[in-house]
Parts: sequence; C-alpha cells; structure tokens
Amino acid sequence: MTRSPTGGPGVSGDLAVRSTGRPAPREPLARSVAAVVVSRRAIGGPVTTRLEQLARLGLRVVVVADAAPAGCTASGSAHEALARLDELGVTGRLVLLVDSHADLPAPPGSDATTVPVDGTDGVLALLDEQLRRARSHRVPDVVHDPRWAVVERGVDPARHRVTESLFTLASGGVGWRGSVEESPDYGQPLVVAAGVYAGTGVHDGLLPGPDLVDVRLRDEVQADERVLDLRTGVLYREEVGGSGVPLRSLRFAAAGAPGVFALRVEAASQRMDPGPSPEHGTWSATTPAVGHHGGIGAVARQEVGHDAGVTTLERLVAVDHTTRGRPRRARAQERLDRAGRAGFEALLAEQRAAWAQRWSRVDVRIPDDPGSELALRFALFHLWGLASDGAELAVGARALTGSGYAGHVFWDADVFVLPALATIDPEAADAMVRYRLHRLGAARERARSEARRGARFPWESAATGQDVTPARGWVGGEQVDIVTGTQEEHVTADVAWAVVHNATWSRPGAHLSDGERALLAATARYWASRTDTDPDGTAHVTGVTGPDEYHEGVDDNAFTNVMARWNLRAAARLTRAHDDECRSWLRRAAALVDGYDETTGVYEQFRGYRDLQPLVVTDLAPPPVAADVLVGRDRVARSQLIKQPDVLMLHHLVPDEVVAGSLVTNLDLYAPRTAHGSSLSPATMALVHARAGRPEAALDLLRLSLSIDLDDLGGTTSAGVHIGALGGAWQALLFGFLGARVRDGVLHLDPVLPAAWPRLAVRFRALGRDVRVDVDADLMTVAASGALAAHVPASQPYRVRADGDVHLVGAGAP
Amino acid sequence: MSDVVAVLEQDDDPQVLAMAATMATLLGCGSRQTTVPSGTDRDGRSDAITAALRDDDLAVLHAGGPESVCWDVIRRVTTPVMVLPQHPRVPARVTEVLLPLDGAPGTAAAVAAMAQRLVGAGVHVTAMHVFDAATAPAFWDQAAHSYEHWTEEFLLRNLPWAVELDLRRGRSCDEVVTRAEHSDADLLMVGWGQDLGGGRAQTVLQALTAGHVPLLLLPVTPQDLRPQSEDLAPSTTPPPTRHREA
Repeated sequence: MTRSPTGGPGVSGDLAVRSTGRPAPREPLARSVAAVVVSRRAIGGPVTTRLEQLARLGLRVVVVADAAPAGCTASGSAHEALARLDELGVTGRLVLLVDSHADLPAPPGSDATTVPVDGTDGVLALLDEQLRRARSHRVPDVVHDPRWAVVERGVDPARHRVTESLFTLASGGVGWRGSVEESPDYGQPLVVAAGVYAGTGVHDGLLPGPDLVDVRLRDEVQADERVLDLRTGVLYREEVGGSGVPLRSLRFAAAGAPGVFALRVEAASQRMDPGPSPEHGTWSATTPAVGHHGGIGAVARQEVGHDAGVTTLERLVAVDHTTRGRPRRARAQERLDRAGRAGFEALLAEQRAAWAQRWSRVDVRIPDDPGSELALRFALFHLWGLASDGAELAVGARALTGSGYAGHVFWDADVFVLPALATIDPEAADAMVRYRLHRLGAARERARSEARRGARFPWESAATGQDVTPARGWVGGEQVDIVTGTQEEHVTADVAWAVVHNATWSRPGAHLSDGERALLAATARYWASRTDTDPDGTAHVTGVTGPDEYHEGVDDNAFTNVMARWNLRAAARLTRAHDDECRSWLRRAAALVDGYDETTGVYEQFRGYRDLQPLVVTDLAPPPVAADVLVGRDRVARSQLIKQPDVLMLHHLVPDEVVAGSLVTNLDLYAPRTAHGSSLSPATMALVHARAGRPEAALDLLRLSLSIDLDDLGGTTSAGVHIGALGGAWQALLFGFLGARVRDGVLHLDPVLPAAWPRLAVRFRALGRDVRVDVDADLMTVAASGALAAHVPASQPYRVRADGDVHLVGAGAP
Repeated sequence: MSDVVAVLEQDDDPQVLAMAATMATLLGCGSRQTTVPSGTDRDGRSDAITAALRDDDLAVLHAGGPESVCWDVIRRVTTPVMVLPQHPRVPARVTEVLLPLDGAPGTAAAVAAMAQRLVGAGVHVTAMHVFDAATAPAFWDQAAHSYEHWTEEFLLRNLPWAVELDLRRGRSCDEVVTRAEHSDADLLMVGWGQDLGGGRAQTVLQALTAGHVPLLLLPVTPQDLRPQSEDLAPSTTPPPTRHREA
C-alpha cells in the first residue's frame, strides 16, 4: 500500500519530485540561520542581489545603514538590529552577523553568530550558503535556550507516547501530536480538531483526522534530541550518537495561518523515502462512520530536495474541519496555496514573529526559579494551542493533545481552563462560552425531562450538549457505577460562573450578551426548582456529588449549595428577569444552607461529614495518591479523606459568598485530608495556600501541579496533557501568588510571593488591556496598554508604582 | 532455550517429571533430568545442580522444607527456574499464565521474552498489578475514563503481549497467591531479584509455601536493571506508578 503525505491509502497522482539542490562546494556555517545582519560597507553589487534574494525567501535581512535593499530593513546599529529581530522572535544563534569590515562586532551579551570575513568573496560565500540551504529545503536551526526549550533526549518507548502529548502543536483548532516522523509501532500519532466528534452518546470521542507526518525511513533512529522551542512554537529534532548525516526535522503549526502545518525533514540520501509528491497536493479526509456530521480534511503538498548528500522533504498541510457537513478541500486548498506562495521560510518567519507577539503580551519571568518559569511557559504554550477562530470552542479534558477522556468537556473547561484563557486569549475564552450557549437548548431539555425548570448542563458534554457520561467505570480494579453524570450537578452553576467571570474579567463594564443573560437566568431557574424547602424555611440540595468525588450522593454539599446560591444571586443582579422572580431567587438563595458553623469557623463539606472517620491522607500514603484506588471506594467514603478541594474551591471561585477570614480555618481542616487524587487538585490548593499567606507551601504545590505532565506523574499523559491542571497552574500564579482579581472594573493585586521568587514579572490580559506587573525586591510596578484602574491593599508589602495610564485606586493608592 | 531440566532431589519425582514434560512440549524444546547427589551438604548439592544447568536451560524442581536445596538454587542460578510448591497442582497443559508486575522496568524486562514466547505458543497471559502504598497511582481523575488510559499505558510499557490486565489492591503477595489459587492459572510467572532476605520476595515465598500453582521464576538480571547511558536517557523517566518507601 502506498501511503500518502497525509496518511491516506492508495494515493495516485503526479510524481512531481523537484530536485532543487546541487552539491555544496563548502559550508562556511553549515546550518541555516533566520536573519542576516550586514553593514553598509558590505552591500553593493552581487551582495545586494543575494540579500534581496534571501529576503524574498523569507529570511530577515537587516543592513546597518540609512537605507536597505528591497525587502531588507535598515537599522541604526547592530544593537538596534538585534533588538528588532528579538521582537520578531529571531534570537541568539539564529542571527548571522556578517562582520565583513571589522565594523560589525556582536554587541556585548549577544549570542548572535558573528562571522568575520574578508572581502566580498567571503560575504558571498556565507550568503550563497544560506540561499542554497533555503532553496534545497534544509532544516532550519533552533535556539536551545533552557528558559524556553523543553528538551527530550533518547528514544525510550515508554516515554515516547508521553512526549507525543507534550510536543503537540496546534493551530486553528487542530492539534497535531508530536509523533516522530517515522511513526514507530509504539507511537500514537493523532490529529484532532476541537469539537469534531465521532460516535454517539457515551461512545462519543474525538474523530481522528488524517495523519500529517508519516515519512518512511530506512534504519531506525537509535537516539535523538527533541526540542520544543516554546518561544517560537517549533518542534525540532536531531538524531544523535550515529555516524554520518543525522536525521533532522522541524515542524510548526502556523500561529499566523490557522490550520496550516509545516514540516521539513532531512536525512542522508537513500535513507528517506519521501513518497509521491502530487503537484496540486493530496487530499485526505476522515468523517464519522456513525453519529454526527462533520469531519477533518487535510490537503498536503511536498517538495523534495537534494543537497550535498542530503535528501530533504518539505511538506505544507492545510486542514479544514467542521462540525457540520463535510470538510471542504477548496477551503483547505486556498489556505495551502496561500501558504505555498509565501514559502516555508516566510511562514517560519511569521511563526516566530507571531509567537514573539504572543509572549510580549502574556508571559511570566521568574529569574530565580527557571524551572517553574519554563513549566509555566509550557502551560501557556498549550493553553495558546486552544486559540481558535471558530464560532465556538469545545475544550476536552486533554485539549487537542490526545484522545484521552474521549475529548469530553467537563467542568475543567469552565472553571480551570476558561479563566486562564481569559487572561491569555479573551477571544478564545469567548468561544468557550459560546460552546455552552449553543447547547443551552439541550440543557433546557434535560431539565425539562427531569421535571425541573430552567437548564441543567451535563457533567460530560460533547457534540450535542446531551450528557455523555458513561454509566460504568473502574476505580483501579473495582468496577463501579458512575454517578457523576447524574449527581455532579454543580457543573450547572460552574457554567454560569464561567460566563459571568469571563465578562467580569475581560469586558470593561462586565457586559453580558442577551444569550449569556439567558443562560444565567435558566441556570438560576434550575436551582430554584432543584432545591427543597424544609418546614423551618431552610433550603437544601440533596443527593449530589461535589468536586470531592470520594463522597457520592450526599446532602447539602457546601460547594454545590454555595455555587447554586451564587447562581441565584447573580441572576437576580445581572439578568432582566421579572422582579418577582428575582425576589424569589434571592429568597431561595438566602434560605440555602451552606454548612457553616459559626463556633468553629468551618464549612462542613456536606451534612454528616464531621461524623466520618477522621483520617488524614498521610495515614495511607504520601500525597498525591488516588486514595480510592489504594483502599477502595467504600473505605474512602467512610472517611474524611477528600479527592480535591471542595469547600476550598469556594474561597477561590466565589470569595464573596463565604465568610470573610474563613479560609485559613478551613484550609487547616481540609488540606491534610486532601489526597490530590484529581490532577486538578494541586493547582487549586496552591492557589488557596497563596491566598492564605502561605507562599512556600503554595510553591511546592504549584511545582507538583506543573510536573503532572512534564514528569507524567499519573502515568496517563500519553493520552494527552491535563489541560485543566495547566490552566489551574496559571491561575495559581495569577490569582494565587499575584492575587489578581477584577471587581467592578478594577484590577485588584495583592502579591504573596515565596522567598525563592524575589523577582517576578507577569504579563496578562485583563479588562481589554495588556497588563504588566513587575515585582522586584520591594517595588511592584503595574503597567497597562491603556487606561486601567488598579487597586492594591495597603497591607501588602510592596511600594507600588503605576506606569502609563494605570490609575491606582483605594487604600493602597499613594 | 535448549532444554527443560527436571531436577530430582529423589530418584523419582513424578510431578517434577510431568511438569518438565509439559513445559518441554509447550516451549518446543528438549528435556533431560538430573538427580541431586546425595550424601553431600546443601552447598554441595546446590553446586552440583548449578553446574548441571546451561545458561539457557529451564530447570524444574520441587520446593521442599526449609532444608531443601531448592532455596539455594533459586537464589543462585541465572536461568529460569520452575518451582513446584510442596503440594502442587500440576497441569497437563499450560493454557493460562498469571504474571504479576510491579511496574518496575527491570521486572518487565525480565519476563518479556518468556511472556512473548508463551503468547506465541497460544497461552493466555494475564498480567496482574496490585496497588499498594508504593504503587498506587497519583491520580485517578474520572472513574469513567481513567482505567482505559492507565491500563493501556501500563501494558504498553510493561507487557504489550499480555492479553489482559487484572488490577487489585492490597498486599501484593496475598493478592497474587489468592488470585492464582482461585483462578484457572496453570502457572504463576514472576520476575524477581533472587533475594529472599529482609522481607523481600514475599510473593515467591507465599506462593511456594502456601500455594499450589507452579511458579516460574525469571531472574532480573543486571542487564534488565541497567539504566540507559546518560546520553540516551530521557530527561525524565517517569514510572507508570510512583515507587516510594512503603
């Protein structure tokens, strides 16, 4: 069977292999750079021609002069040139400084590649090498900057599927797992698209799209080094330890061209079989055999080159996906043609620039803790993978990085991912809200079918918005009935909370759309009909499961009740419901019990919790541990062990709904009982520890959260990264350590930093602005891209400086 | 594998001979027998058995009381050894094998070749993993989905040839022996470190002293435990489960 560039069987077409290479006489640099900087004295005659040719191919060319040739940029100095290139994502050794007249030394501290050459011939040799390499599709170089690079060395089958998840690249709502080019037997290559499912009901799952990567290779790669360069969004691979020409590859999911993917591979001639290269590309598509409409199609074209004993392959792929109808080749072809006209080098230059732009708006710098800094950037990288220009965005538990959890959408999306995404890419957060809004009808139908009013959202959601939670599952080796689908009703309030939070965080004025108000009202109506009132006038929610899934079917779960109370009050405040209905919501909210004991200051997690066996998790094993797997479901249900924060989630999500000052008391009670058996748990616990003024413990928990995927703590990262944990970690930094909140259109900041972080710089989006907060020793500087009101409490320990249009308000204002 | 060798501590041990014949048929190799010399001390007898075995033989012998030479042999020889408990359930054919795995790469490496061979011979191999304080997973996010991903990855890392994975919780030795005794398992196959001291190898001890199912022991060799060279090692090598001090 012939395999197409996109993995489809039986492809036929023109064999338009273009041999573009020619023997290289010599290699002054022996690698491909991204930018060339020359001095004014170097240009003229054939050098100018070469520079123009390089610029046309997509390389950045800067001339330190008043004027520059066509397509090139003029710069006042080498220092200025490097600064400008840095803004475009071209850094370090990717910059070639051609020091032809001893007048262009690298500025102090620069890692640029500086090559002194003699005369025009030397300059030409350097430029000709770069031209030849670009034209013959040689694999470009990357910067191995430890602050930006996630590096994996070796070929370990046990680790490979994990790195496929970690190295997933995504663009335009399409995720491309980081499988190696030759797709070994132990790999799980996969392409998926957000919201494109196959199957029906509980058998829903993300539809696998056409493979983008397979390349036939003789002689296995024995060992390699793979570098995910977070700064530029490229994945680089180089064979190590062998003799001869190493296999190398570079790929990226174009941030500036949604749905376009690019790959270059090079290997010794005769080793790689690139397969056929139809002139107009090859179209492959997958559609669901049963279930929904929609599908994923990919059109790919490739060129083959030869250069100095090396065979190269350049492949460009454009993906079209849809949840309705069929994927359309014409749409993908248009993208592919546009990408093809630009060319690989230009696409890569755009890629670097697009990511540089992203990092200029959202980033974290922790100079004294590079490990946490890198891991947080890794989290941001995958959250950015959700950036989408689609009408809606379904974020499954493993995002677009694997098939785990069937791609189903849980509360993780609303509570852990969306608030993070609102600080990174507000448009994507809006698209997540639209995913829920578009399924409000299904939620209404569910409530109606259960003789309730309003709308009840499903615990697990996929294409239709109907509940797709399986009915049976396993806790370790114990087969169990799954009750989350029927009992984890808090998801309905969580969805409403996410809608309001998104508007509050991102929109000055916190304006809600009509659809959003309708959702808020419908969820409030659900709670109003779901609560029961006792003769004493108190209202209750019975038979539910809270975030702590170790205790099922409980009554008056604090989290559920308080979130329902918040939902009722928010609807009364923010919707345009009739006054009578608003008053009834407020009465019901006031009547809902929340388990708070004024004498102890403790919220009882649910009725009867305090009577359970008072185990703490270290009685069983050091956390994190899946306590239910370890000792059985019944055993944990009889104990006070909890899976993840439940009461403490309230202090994070709705601090105004809990008694002021109650965090520490409840943290002291519940933290030792928390097994962290959910991967969502450490991040939340880090956040609340920070807010409780315990930054050292918070940092330990943050590091634990950040290592879940990078170290595959749970043994299931092969099925995709835990996007909820990654979103939670970013929230822990922003909302926990930095103490960022938006209230009434004001950004509140209240940093609590560990000793290991004397310096911290965070950039994020809020209230329509790009915000920068820098903490250095005892000074906190707040800056924004436009007018912004910020509040810092007088009690916080930093001197505060507001830059630009930032206006400090409240007690901490100078 | 060259031969299955029936090691006889007495002139005639029909159970050892029957088991050896069964294994020879199953593995498609020859068989021979050797008798433990009498009149020598334990060390002498153990030396004699060790000398009689080639590197790729499979020895079959009977576990006796505390003075049995068996306990010396299984700690010394580097070849696979099948030990019959004192009152064994000797199968006429081997169709079901139970293979406990602790998730450690060395254990998986030790049993890999034999497991693959048995599966190739049509044997149904069930892998078994017991969760305890040292091996329980860190996270079990959703019972509706976690099992599928965890078990798939566990098998891919440890024993891709296994037909199925049986998960239990509790004390590993109790769970393994109980499962073997109350199932159709014809053999229990274990990768082990050849160390019976300090409370180690409780599964081996319990299977031989309290069980009835023949036990196939596959020594974990230094090669199985060898870490990859620094150049070849991944940046992190996560086990599927964490291994902590119990």
